[in-house]
Amino acid sequence: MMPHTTTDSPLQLHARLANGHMVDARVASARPHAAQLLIGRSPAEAVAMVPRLFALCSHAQGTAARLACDAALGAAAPDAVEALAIERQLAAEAAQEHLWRLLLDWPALFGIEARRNRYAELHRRLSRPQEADAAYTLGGDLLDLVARELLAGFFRHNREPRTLAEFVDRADSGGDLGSVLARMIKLGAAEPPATGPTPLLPLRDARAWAKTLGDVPDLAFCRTPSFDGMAAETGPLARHQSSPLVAMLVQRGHRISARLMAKVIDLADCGSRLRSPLAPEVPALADACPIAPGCGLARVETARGLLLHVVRIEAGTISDYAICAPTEWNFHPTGSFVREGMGWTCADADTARLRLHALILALDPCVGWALHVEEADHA
Amino acid sequence: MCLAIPARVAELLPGDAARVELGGVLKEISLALVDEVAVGDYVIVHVGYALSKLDQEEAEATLALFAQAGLTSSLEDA
Repeated sequence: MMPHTTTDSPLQLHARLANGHMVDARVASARPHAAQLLIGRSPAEAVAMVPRLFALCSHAQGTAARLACDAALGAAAPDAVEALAIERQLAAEAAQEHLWRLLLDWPALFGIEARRNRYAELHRRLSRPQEADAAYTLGGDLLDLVARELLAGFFRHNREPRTLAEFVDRADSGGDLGSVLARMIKLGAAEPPATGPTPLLPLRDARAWAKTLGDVPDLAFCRTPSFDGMAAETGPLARHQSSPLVAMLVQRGHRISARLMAKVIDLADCGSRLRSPLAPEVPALADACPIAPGCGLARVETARGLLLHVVRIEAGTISDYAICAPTEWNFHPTGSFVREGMGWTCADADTARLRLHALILALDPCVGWALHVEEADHA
Repeated sequence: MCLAIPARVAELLPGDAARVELGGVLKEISLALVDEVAVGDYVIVHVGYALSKLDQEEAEATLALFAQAGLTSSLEDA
């Protein structure tokens, strides 16, 4: 899955290299606002329509629509059996999204052959409805995939690596993703952004978001969301920042690699959720609550991060609808791509492109994108 | 949030590939992720891969919906 290089991609990413220094990074997004299609429709129409609107994460989008409408209407939450089914389906979909990146895109970035057949096999299994027995087996297979195929080198030792050298040694000694991680780390650490790293979005439930937003958010929020007045990063790094190996990579200035490691941990988490959905002490991937009379909010943690749907229903008709997707957080005009896409030294434009490409894959946009690196050498 | 704009399969190509018509443009894609696709079928495409098949009625309803909202001119990230 390579990026578009044409100007018709919805996400245009620009960076500027001057005298061996990345001096600028910008995002231009021309994403269509699909929520407008839902206004004026009945909740039932909207719930049927939403999964058909989105090519990726259609289960997450459909679940969010349904839970938000139910919360607005004061309908009962899904019963225990259905809640388990929702959790399994969301975990399967998130695993599918992670595997696309991990088996196809990341290896290709470093000239390692993409594992198309393996991905195709898993894509088919993960696309099916996830009955409990099949999901249990599939979850186990995902855990095996992580341990035997992606990061095998880490599972041949009795203890976790304590130094970066040990980390690279384990990464390099087995597994496709291990090789990718080792090569990524060998590219070198990045200076922390001059403006500091983008804050990581805390994991919050629907009630917390309802309290923060207070109403259906406007289009400006959906396009450039903020938390505590600032851009924030959502996704695997935010979810697994306290995992020791992820934290070690962050501390040593390898934030891109930390995101990749967090993605693999998230894939294993999907496997665990498929085996034991809604386990005690593990927050559900989706929840919802009323936000005001006739108004409901749903939250879903997707592969790429937080997805919010907020709906207002008046006299049986949707009068307002907002969708805020993870890509809007991570490719915010002052977010992680912009902060980490500049402020570092770089030997040449090809190396700059490689690191920026890795940063983009790490932040994982859900739309096609194009990267433009401008060289502006001064005498 | 990439829009799921249905693409009609115009021609099957060797190597599990196809040429699809999307927004008036012909594009070559991989069929590696879907089974039993025939000319005339509709598929949802994402960055060069058909992700899923959908029936004609559903595809036409979705295309009409996007057209009504003026969204079909964008190829999104197919």
